[in-house]
Amino acid sequence: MSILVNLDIMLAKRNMKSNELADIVGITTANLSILKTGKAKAIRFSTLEAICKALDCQPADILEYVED
Amino acid sequence: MTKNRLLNIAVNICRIIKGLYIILFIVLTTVFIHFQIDKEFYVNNVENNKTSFNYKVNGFRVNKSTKWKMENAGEDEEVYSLKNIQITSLYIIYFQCVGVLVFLFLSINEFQKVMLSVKNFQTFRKENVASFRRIGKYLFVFFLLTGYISVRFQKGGFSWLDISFTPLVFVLLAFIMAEIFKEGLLLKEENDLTV
Repeated sequence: MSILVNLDIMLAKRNMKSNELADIVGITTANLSILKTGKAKAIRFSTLEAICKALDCQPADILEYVED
Repeated sequence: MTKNRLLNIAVNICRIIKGLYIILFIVLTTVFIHFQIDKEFYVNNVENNKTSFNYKVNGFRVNKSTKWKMENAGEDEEVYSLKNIQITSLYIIYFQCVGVLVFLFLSINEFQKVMLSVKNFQTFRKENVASFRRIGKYLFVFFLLTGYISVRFQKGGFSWLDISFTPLVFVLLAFIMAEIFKEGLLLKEENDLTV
């Protein structure tokens, strides 16, 4: 996958745990794990918006494009 | 509610048909064994009643009859008598019939599995794709088994090539259903992995 999800880095920067973020965003920890491990095939704008709001960051801080 | 009722009916029909196939298999095997023990019973009862077994054909059929020895002209009944049937021919017919029953049973069994999964809201899963593919394969074997029938007697015999399109249509439908379910499975996986 050429799109990397840097959620772990942002969580560490904000000193926040995965389950806390999942609670704030309103998704299950299983779904957040899918996102963190890069298994996700798509992300809804509403989820992305909620994550950015919770972590006070931009989408580019979470998602990164890397050429294969 | 309606969906569940329909599925329950479908599952129950599958169970009844499977039960009927088992009964048919037992009856067929019993007749097959009994025929070899007491041939006269069938010669006297079946032949004298002029019982015939036919089914509708939705394709084309090629019949071929041969008589190797014409000792008495016009005595077909003697040539094609059950008591004169060749033992190898009898075994082939028996295994053909058993094969037909087994493959129909397996097809119904797979269909029942699909129905149960739909009932449990697990419609699009790998097992259902595999089930439809298996149904297609089983029906193709059924088509092959019913395609050519040959009965050999001591002094003659007859055979027919029966290309029936109905099983082939079902084979095609089963493979199409497998592809549809495969597509559904991909969509489901994509949906499941959308956060």
